[in-house]
Amino acid sequence: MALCQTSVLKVYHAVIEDVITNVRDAFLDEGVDEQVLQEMKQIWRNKLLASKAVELTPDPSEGGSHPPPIVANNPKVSKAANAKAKKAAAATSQSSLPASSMAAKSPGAAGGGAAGSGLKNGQMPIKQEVTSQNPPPLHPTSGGSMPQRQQATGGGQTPIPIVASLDPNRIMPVNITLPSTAGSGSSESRVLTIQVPASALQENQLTQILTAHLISSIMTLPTTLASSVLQQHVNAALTSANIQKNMGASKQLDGALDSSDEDESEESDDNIDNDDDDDLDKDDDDDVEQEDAAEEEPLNSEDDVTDEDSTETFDTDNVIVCQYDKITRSRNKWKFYLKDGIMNMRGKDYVFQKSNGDAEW
Amino acid sequence: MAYQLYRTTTLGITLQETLTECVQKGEMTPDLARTVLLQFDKSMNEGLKQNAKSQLAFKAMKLETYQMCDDVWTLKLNDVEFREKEFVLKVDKVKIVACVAKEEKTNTK
Repeated sequence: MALCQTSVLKVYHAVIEDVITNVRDAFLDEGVDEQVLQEMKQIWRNKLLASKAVELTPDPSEGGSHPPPIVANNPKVSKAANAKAKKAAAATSQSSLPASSMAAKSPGAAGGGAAGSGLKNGQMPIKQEVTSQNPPPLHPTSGGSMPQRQQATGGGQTPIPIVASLDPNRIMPVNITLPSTAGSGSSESRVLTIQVPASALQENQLTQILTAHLISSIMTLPTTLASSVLQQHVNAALTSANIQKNMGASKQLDGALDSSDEDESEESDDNIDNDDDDDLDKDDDDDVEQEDAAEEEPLNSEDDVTDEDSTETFDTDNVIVCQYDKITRSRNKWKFYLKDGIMNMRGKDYVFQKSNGDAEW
Repeated sequence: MAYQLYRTTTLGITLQETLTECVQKGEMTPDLARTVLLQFDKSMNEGLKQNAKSQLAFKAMKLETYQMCDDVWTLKLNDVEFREKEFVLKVDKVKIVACVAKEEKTNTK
């Protein structure tokens, strides 16, 4: 394993220990018990392990502030480590785990006792924990409390009275329920949430925008990615629809409706002229254009998304947080001299002392 | 004061969650939590300086956007490849947030 991966745990442990040591005084000053400090440390470590961002290595010299010589007591240790893993699972189960078998039955004392035995012993049970936490559970939205819910696979819907009375410009969240896909590992249907202006709901524009083609193309995407693709598509479609509507509806864009920007009103004047001349044709063209745009968008968004990465980067933004010694540019060639950085790539953490890179703008 | 830059890392976020829980349970005051976070900033900056060993090289196909404000660079790169000896890692998109490296005196705190 690369140094950038193996040193992660070491750095993290050093930081945790340093923090605990230095805040102990502050805790005592406030009159907070040492027990609370220890508990805080334990919860912190459990969360860290549960995050799966750190690679646990089988190397016995790795990590662990006090690695006791436990190799001889394997059965005892692995049982204790199992208990610890269960406790870690229990800590996260409140927020995520559907597997109730691992939750909450943790013998707290044993879990606490195993804490000192070092992380490396927790490797096996934690790996099991990893697989059971994977697929991330998706909670289906409960009840029909949202009047704006629309089925993506359904046909046209009549406007709901509540929605009809809303201010057309108000942005409403809309839940779109997708049936489960074969490869997603989830047996529940997924719900994506997008934000649309109420006017879109009042005029049933969503059914035109959310074509079957679009829906089938995002079906394979993970929920968050699918939501953002859908959101972008809806935004684009609504914008082009609105532009067309505005051009058709209001011939006069100056006077009361004039914007202060001179450039803008010049542009609209030109558009009005065109509109006057080719009104009908333009409307037809815009309709066709909108449909084409609706069909092109899903095709283009397929280009952007790669399957392997999208399943792994499910909810991660690959981020590097660091300091820079120098960042230089020559024409469009950039050079980066970075240091003391932590990277989170595809959910995993890496650490570097120095990193140099190039890019073209 | 040490950079609060690292609070968005896994370690930082887990710490903040832990502190929020403790404060909600009434086990510690928000003030104390703030103190812990400030200590975390110091320990993190120091810890990286002393314990991080790896030297990484990377090459990006494209610098998508760059932004610099108050000596903080925010960069977005596409198609990046990280290398360290035999270790190779390729990702489609990377965001880098970098603060200017401080010149530190040898004694800290």
